[in-house]
Amino acid sequence: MSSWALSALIAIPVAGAIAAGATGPRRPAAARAVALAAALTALGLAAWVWITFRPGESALQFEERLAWIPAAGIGYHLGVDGLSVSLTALVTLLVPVAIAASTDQVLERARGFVVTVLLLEAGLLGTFLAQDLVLFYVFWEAMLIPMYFLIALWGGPARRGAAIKFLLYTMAGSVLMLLAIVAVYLQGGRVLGTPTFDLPALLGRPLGWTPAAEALLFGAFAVAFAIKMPVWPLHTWLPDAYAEAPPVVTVLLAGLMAKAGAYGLLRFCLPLFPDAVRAWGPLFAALAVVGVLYGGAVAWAQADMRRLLAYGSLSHMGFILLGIFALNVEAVQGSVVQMINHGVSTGALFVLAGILIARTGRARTDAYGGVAAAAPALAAVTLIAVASSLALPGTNGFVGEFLILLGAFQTRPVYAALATFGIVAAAAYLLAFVGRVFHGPLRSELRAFPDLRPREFAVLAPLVAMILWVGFVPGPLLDRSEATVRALLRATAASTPAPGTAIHARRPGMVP
Amino acid sequence: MTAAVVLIPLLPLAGWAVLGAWGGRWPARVVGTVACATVIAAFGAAVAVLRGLAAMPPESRLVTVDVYRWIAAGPVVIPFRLLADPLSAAMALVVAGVGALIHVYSAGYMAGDRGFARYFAYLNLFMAAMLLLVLAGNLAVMFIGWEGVGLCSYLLIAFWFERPAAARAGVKAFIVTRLGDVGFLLGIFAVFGVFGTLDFTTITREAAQRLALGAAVPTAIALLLFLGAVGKSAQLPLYVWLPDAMEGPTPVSALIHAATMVTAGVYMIVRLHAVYLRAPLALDVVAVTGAVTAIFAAAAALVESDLKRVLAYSTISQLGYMFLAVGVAAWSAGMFHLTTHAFFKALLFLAAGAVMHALGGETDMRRMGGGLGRRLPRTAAAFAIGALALAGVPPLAGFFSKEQILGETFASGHAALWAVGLLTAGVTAFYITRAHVLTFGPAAAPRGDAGAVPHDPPGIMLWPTAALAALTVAGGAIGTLEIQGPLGRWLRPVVDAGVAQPVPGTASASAAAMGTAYWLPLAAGLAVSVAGLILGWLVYARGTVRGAAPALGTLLARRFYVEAFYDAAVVSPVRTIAAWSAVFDRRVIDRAVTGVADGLGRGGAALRRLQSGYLRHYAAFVLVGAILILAYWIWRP
Amino acid sequence: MSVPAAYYLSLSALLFTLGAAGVLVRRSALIVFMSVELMLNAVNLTLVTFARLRGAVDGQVLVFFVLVVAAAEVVVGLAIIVDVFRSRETVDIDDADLLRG
Repeated sequence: MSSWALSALIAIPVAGAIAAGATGPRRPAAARAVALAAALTALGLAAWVWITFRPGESALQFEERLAWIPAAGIGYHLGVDGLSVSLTALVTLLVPVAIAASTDQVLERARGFVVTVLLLEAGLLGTFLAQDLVLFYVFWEAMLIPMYFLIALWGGPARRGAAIKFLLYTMAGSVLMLLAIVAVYLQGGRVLGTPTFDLPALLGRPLGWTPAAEALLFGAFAVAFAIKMPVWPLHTWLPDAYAEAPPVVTVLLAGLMAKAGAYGLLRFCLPLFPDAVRAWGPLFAALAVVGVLYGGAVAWAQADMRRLLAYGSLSHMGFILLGIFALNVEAVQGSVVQMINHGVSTGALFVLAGILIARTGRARTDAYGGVAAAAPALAAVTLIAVASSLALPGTNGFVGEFLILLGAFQTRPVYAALATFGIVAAAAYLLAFVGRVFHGPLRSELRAFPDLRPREFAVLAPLVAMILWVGFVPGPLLDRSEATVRALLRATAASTPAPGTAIHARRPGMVP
Repeated sequence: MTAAVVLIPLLPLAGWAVLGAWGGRWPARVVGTVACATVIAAFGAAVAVLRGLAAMPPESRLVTVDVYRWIAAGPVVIPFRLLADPLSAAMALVVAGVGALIHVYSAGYMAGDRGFARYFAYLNLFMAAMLLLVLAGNLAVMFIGWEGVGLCSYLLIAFWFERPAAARAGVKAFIVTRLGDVGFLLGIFAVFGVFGTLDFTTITREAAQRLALGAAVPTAIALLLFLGAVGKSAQLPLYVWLPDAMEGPTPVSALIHAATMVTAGVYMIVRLHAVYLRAPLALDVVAVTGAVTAIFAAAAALVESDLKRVLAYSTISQLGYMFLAVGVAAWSAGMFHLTTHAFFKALLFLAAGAVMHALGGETDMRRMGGGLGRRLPRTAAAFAIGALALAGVPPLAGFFSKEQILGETFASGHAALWAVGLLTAGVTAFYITRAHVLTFGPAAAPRGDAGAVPHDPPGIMLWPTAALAALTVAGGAIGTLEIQGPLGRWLRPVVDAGVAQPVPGTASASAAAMGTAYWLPLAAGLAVSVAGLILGWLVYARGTVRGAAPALGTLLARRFYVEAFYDAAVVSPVRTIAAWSAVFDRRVIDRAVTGVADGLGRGGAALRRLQSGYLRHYAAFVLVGAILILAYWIWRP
Repeated sequence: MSVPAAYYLSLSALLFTLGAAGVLVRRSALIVFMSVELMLNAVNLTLVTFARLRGAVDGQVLVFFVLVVAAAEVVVGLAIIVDVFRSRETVDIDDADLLRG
């Protein structure tokens, strides 16, 4: 049944891009409308997939499998499981938000803009849906190209450099991953008898790596994903790209593309290289903690609001990384929902930054002051998004970070304790942002600062609703990924030679 | 019963939602009515819960309500659970009661403010969060309320956000308390590691089995959770945010920064007393922190010239008393003082608010006086009642609760802590006399604000003040001087639960054998308080005795340089590290990346010289290449 | 009687060298072009020689390919030269260094 849904999900944005491109150069409003309609159609389909997805099953659902290049063992294989079903829905949620928000923020070459955004959506969806290594790689690279153009054509004054840096940096990681994919293919052929790039087939049996080979290949995959997330110290493309891209593009970059890195770690590194994941876990946990604290500290020292949010994003991605490498159900579950949460809250914050910048043309926070007096609704929505980013309980951010830290504390208490200070850092830089922009005496040149317009409110309302809904009722989200995460961690722990990853084995020991 | 428990936090939450969405468009009268109605209704629900519990036999006074399954991931299963037992019901009653009075008062105090609806939306949200904190059935739900009140505190301190000082004070309050919350969170994680659950009843029931008496794990848990209490309840060394928090509207100071939120730490420790009893060392830390904070903040209040900041330091000091009480395991004494303090400190703040209302926002006591007491007779009387209660003069409520704490401390064998508490009582009486005399006394002073003659506030502000004054006068009856007074008996099912055996040396064990050991501290406490009052009167009203040593005065005025120390040792270094990290990020990490790109670029620049553009050069390259390949094939090994 | 293959190959090498030298040293695009043709035909001669020597036809088949490609190349090349001449009034290849790095 429904063996067309996922292909349709990828095809809708492509078709939308073609239709929007056909509207002609003189009618940007028509192009926007067509693109928005396509994005909303995709959202509807993804919502249907999300709702009909059966929680409690770890296997792939909505699977589609076609031979593509049979001679090389390459197949067109799509499917969703607990890791990807919510991310897919998030993609289709944030893209219409970005397209709608661009109405007031991207005024030049609107047709090209929406076409590129839709092509990016197709690439993102393919990345999260592909179950074949080559297909994944194709989509992985395919999403780079629209993003490059979105930064290079619609970005700020230093856009060229930022776009090229972004492209080359991510491609450097991708090349390593491509080599590793080929190595996995060859080894899989040796072990399974039939060479294949199909991920479920490759996971069917342990591939029998030597420790050195496993570490090397894990490293190659992990570097590609770490650059994308990004993980400290591979993050320096991020502030430039986030700051130079138009804020609505940063919504997609920070909200969605960064998640592809974390998703890749969960999808490929954990099941393919379980021993290496355990062996290198402490290093990645340490990098995560450094990222959390370092990102927070640097964010505090930023004057440009986009850079502030960019480094804050680095800090938050550190929590997700920490959760992944805690390797217990609650922490990985926390990471999976935190990917969604961070997408929503950072998305909302960058939309808000875009609104501010579109009003005044200034990105430095010291160009503002007292805006809450002129724009109370804008201030209120910002406060909710900030609360989510601060992981205040009752917002979605709390559910994710609480589970991550709680889980990480059981396996790596020192790292978790250090990372917990990240919530203080988040309070410091986010409240500094709120304080500088919204509080203080209203600047005289901002007296006519317009409050949130109905259209802008309509763009932000779904995100605010998500923030509160997931904060109080995270059940549906957690349920969808729980079975897959359990299976994933069982597989990761399966080839353990020595006991000790039984995570709660320590617990009775703490009881005297 | 179940419905009433859920309604207690839900009603103010609904008030927030309604006022947040539409309040801005409604007339002030409607906004005020809605806000007050939700809190009064919550108070009614709390009364219903209390009566429901009272109707049960004492051992079974425990109602848990699982509203729904909140978070479930792997072994972490956290229901959204509310818990009504004698402790939470009593606390909810105090919070909702004082909250309702202050809501009514606010309707008068904030009349005409531009942000009237926003104010009441925040205040309702605060009530919802605070009542959730009180009624929480597990640590995670308590943490919702815990952080929620922190957020509201931030919002309300920075309510007049156009004033940079208010905005700064809000941020400071939030970040300093969050520093404590790191400890609280880690404590929650450790509790989960030990118990596999965050449920209060399970923790209380199993604490004795799972936690070895005096071992490292219970001590660590207790101290980590206490760190959260230190931040939230403004104890040393994290008290610095509370005096600045006085930038908020005065009713907010009364409600959040005196009566309710800041007492959350005390409440949390009583709630988790079973854990603390397994960690005597942590209890001692709590008691010593409380005692030291009490005397320190009382001393700071001596030289403060701002009326509200005097009350803020007084709050810090009185919270120290409460921690002293729970630190010597006198749980119900701590809760008793929490309750009476909520009454008389709220009363003092409301009276101070009336003064500010009359003087156009003036808070500097040096610009008051001048017969203000004659012009605001009711306000002066209310302040006097609160001040006498704070000083511990019988038969006002503060007398009973303070003496109970001192008595229990003495009885538990902590003589040094008792002495500190006793001294604090004297200082307290002294500084509050000074505050009253400076504010309302006859000393001539320039008027704060030209214009209308100051007068008592309107009825909407007077009635809540009068109600609190009545509670301050009569509130001692709920506790009396005995630890086993009405409140103590009411709380017994809670505070005796989970106590495996009487811990030697704590008050509960020795409560039976009191005798003269009880009357001695009582007499001493009373004597010191009265001495403080008289001394204060002599110094400030009569001018009989002249000031203290100037060096001590400066030391006090600068609060023993604690704030300066924080600025120098914490804030500036962190700021510097952040700035350096930002530079490091650009100059080192990013330079390493761009360095690779630059290196490749230079390599390319070197190679480009080969591309002359002349056809014959390319042809020559082809020829040379062909010859080299040929040569390789001919001479290859 | 038959001429030894070495004669053909020597002639071919001579022609090829002449052509290569012409490409490298001459400045007129037309001459360079003719030199290229010379090199191609030298290679053709070699191919034919070896085909004859081995008694197989595939070398001769290859010659036809070369001839066809050369004809096509002449068409395009001459068109380019004519175009260059129109725009620059000269066919001196040292004047054309647009590809300099």
